Amino acid sequence: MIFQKKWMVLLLALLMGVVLVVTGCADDAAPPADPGAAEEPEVFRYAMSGAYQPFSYFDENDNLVGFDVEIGAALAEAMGMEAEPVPTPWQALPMGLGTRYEAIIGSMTITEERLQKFDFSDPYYRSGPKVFVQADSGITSVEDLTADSTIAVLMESVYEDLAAEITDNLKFYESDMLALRELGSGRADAVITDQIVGLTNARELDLDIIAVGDILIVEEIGIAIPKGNPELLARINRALADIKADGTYLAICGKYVGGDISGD
Amino acid sequence: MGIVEYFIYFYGLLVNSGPIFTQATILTLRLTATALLLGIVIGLFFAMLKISKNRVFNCIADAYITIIRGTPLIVQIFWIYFGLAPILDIPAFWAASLALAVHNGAYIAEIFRGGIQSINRGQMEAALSLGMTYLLAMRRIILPQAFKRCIPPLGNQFIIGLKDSSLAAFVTMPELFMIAMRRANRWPGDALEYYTIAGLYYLALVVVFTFLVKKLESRLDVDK
Amino acid sequence: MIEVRRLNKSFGDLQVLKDVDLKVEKGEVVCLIGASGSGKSTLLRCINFLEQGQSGEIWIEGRLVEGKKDNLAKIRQEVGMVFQLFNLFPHKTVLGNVIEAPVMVKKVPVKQATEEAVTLLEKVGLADKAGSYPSQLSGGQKQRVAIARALAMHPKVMLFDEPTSALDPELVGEVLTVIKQLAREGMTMIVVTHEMAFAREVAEWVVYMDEGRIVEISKPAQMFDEPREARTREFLSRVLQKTDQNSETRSA
Ligand SMILES: Nc1ncnc2c1ncn2[C@@H]1O[C@H](COP(=O)(O)OP(=O)(O)OP(=O)(O)O)[C@@H](O)[C@H]1O
Ligand SMILES: [Mg+2]
Repeated sequence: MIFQKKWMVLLLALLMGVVLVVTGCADDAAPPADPGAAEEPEVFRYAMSGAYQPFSYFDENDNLVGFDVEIGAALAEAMGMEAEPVPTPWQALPMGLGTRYEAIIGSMTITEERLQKFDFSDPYYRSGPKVFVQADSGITSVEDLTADSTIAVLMESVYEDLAAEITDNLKFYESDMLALRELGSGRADAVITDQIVGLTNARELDLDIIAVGDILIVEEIGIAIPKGNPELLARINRALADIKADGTYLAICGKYVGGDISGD
Repeated sequence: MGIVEYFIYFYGLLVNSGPIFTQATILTLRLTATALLLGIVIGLFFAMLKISKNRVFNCIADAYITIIRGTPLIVQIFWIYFGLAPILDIPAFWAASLALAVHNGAYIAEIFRGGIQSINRGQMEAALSLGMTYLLAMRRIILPQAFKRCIPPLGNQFIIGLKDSSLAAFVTMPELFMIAMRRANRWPGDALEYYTIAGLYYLALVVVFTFLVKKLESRLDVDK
Repeated sequence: MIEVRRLNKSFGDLQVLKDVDLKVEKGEVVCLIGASGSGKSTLLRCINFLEQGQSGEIWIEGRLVEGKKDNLAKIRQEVGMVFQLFNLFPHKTVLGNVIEAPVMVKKVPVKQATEEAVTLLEKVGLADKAGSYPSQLSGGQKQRVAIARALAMHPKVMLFDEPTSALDPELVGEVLTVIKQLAREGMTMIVVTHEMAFAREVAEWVVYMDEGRIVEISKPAQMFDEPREARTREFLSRVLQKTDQNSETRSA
């Protein structure tokens, strides 16, 4: 028995050693916590799924890119911090908040339920259905559509009800892309679909269509941060206003979505 | 698209994604190797606790093995990466490796225990009767023999560990499966192809590894 | 040299050794005989603490060995043991088996240990097998290696637990020859055996055990020709009869 114990102690020590090495490595890799090293910019870690084009995704060279990613980078810069996007699976996003990253910039809609768990910044973009028409159709607002207009919508979507309030001439399609194609080729007068989906597809499919009027039902998308950190919240909101004011925001919109999605 | 065209298309994807998947393969191997080396240490430790005559040690080992074998690996990975983050803020690589190590450790502990107990009691007695300590007898006499018997099940466990390392994707590790997921997200039309490619990489690794284990086994058999 | 005092040993409810007293002087050969299950192996194993008795004392070289407290590994270096089933280390060569303990325990330099091992292997007639693995040896050869392995630690006492029971009859002789040689050299030995002729030839004392008790300790001549105890006589007549039958069937 005595010898068995010795053996245990040895193994335990080995295990401890391994843990030490592991945590030691962690210290090397972690951002310097030393307050003396003040000239190193603070790191702003923010998470997104990395699987949600065009907001966050990996390009051909496996670089993490997208609207959310660049907004985060722009905010970090405005706050004088170093940006570090942390791609994390969607379902796991809330778990790492406050420990693995300071914020979620992951196209998260502000809902009552989520507001109980985190604080949200001002919306950094808005989404929701908009009316899309051909660029040269002369239609400039929702009011220009009549009961005679043909509207194409995604089958069994919430947009169907919105379209039905305007006209009975509905055409149903299996995907937004198909509906938008029909609009582009003139076989429908309008399409109602999510503004970003519409803008992105118009760009990708090279369709000559535009969105008119306001968002019909507004979804506000915010930056989630841990509860009870008003300082950080204010800082982020200030940075958001800054990048909107100096044109950075619009440039990112143009790059990834093809139109202003701030909804301001 | 005919079969030939499809094959050429697939081949094109395979070649184009080669560099990225190669990088991912290296990460997969690093994860697996780290996890299994740690897993062997953990496994050996708990095997010792398990075969010891001390009740408390037995209970500790039983609890560990039961808990780890009774819960899904993904839960353990999340538990270490997210759950322990406030107290053990280790990078994703180490969190994933540690989780995989702790997980595999439970199975390796059982493999070692089985291997050690399959060695005739007379071996330990002969060693002790020569004046060796328990520790020395374990190291020089029992473990070398046990280890040899453990090679086939260990090889098996290593293959499982290699494939399980794909779950590290869920804590941000850009290993093979993660790269396939990213590509499938970026080009949904090619999702099937990219998952197939990832599968091929795993398959190749497993085939090579199986071959190496067989070789090792037969080499160690020579002096038996 | 070795003294066992009022040793009791139980496995659960089964009491295997009952108040066993035994004294072995330096240079003596003591043979232990008795029916299967009478506790002979257990007694040997208690002497080098592979088992521990519930009560009683073991004295080695005038020192009381106190189980856990004493350094058992140190004491076992002085007490060599040879097992019925050899227990050679299968992953080591014959030479590796013999030098293992001197090198690892006594820190004898490998070169010196090897020289000594070769001498010992010559003594047991296996110098040419130094590079073989145990699986390549016959039973008799294995047992002779096991003896050389134990001798390599220069023990003061050798314990043999039925060293020839697992051997084919034609291999028994070669092992007994080695043990007899050791006896002539004055090695202190306790030998559990069913080979009565051997016991008669080499033993100073023969000890008969039955159901965990020592029934009789006598000189070989007395033990085999006119045992004092009725139970001993009964046992011996049974055993010797069987041996006769065996030799009859063998010659037939
Ligand atoms: N580890 C053990 N656990 C339980 N019982 C045991 C153990 N070892 C021995 N025994 C029992 O103790 C008794 C004595 O066993 P022992 O091996 O000492 O007998 P023996 O005289 O050597 O017999 P044999 O001639 O068959 O070798 C037997 O009844 C045996 O079943
Ligand atoms: Mg016996």
